[in-house]
Amino acid sequence: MSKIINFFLVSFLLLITIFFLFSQLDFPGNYKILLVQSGSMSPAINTGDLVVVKPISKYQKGDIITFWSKEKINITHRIISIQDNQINTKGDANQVSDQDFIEKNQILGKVFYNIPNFGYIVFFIKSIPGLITLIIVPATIIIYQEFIQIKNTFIKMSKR
Amino acid sequence: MLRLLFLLFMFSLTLIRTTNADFVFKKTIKNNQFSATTLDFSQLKTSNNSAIESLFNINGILPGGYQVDTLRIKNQGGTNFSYSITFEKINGEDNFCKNLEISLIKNGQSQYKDSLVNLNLKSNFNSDQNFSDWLVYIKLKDNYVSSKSEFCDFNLNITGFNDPDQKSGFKYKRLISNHISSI
Repeated sequence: MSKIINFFLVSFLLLITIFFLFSQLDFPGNYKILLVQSGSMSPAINTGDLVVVKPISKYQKGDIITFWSKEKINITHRIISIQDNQINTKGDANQVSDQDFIEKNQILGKVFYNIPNFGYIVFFIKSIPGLITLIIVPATIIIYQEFIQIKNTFIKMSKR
Repeated sequence: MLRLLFLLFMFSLTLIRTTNADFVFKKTIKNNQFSATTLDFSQLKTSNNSAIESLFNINGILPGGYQVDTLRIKNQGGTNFSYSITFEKINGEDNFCKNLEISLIKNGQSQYKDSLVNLNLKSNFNSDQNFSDWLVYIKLKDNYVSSKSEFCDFNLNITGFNDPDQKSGFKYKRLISNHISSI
């Protein structure tokens, strides 16, 4: 029974790790996973959510998109109008639309999925305490255990 | 195997990039507590709080002619910030733009009264309010002389800074377009 649980756990972790790592590769058409850092798309998307973004061929009014602003900031807002390749966007929680119109080549993609609150874990892992407790300490323990195991194997081999 | 995968998964999370639902943000990670606050503002009509895209649209202004309008800059974010109001020429004759004067009055006190093209004003919200109301007065100099029709298209750029000195940190800009032409 424990072997089955272990198998499913390994498979699940493997799949989502590949999913997260693959999203960081920059090639045309690839999806992206992004961490939302502020709340002007609330209540659709809140601070601390993770969004899955994928480029599509045609965007339409109402789509939530992620784009590069002229200031080279990554923004996630909703399309409120499209005219002659000029796209106007607005945060759902903002009273006014975004000042600058954007063009299609500025768009990273459409938000397809939102993982609520998972970003807080990411924020924690990216912080110094998070790096220490969830990466450095476990990695040190694993390396130490592997080292002991290799050492014991060598001792056993030398005794033979 | 499971432990290694868990580590790899944690590592993959550190690679995730960020997106802002707002344009500018400030984040604090302290004692494992996360908080985020936004820097966002809008320019509104003082009468009904509707958004302003354009302020002055004057055709046929005469020497000595002027117009007055009002503007509300409202802090819609979660953090206080300072802001600047600057001139940016978009189109038109330099000489005509230089002959325009602008006066900016906040809370009954004059904050700027000089040439439009030199406008570079720094301001803050009052500590007890999340908005600033401005009286904006624009005038063509009395001694302006020209034999042809000239115009000046310009933006009033309102830039919010989370740095009180407006030198570093995050900033967010909004534009108000204007058009003024002579006869």
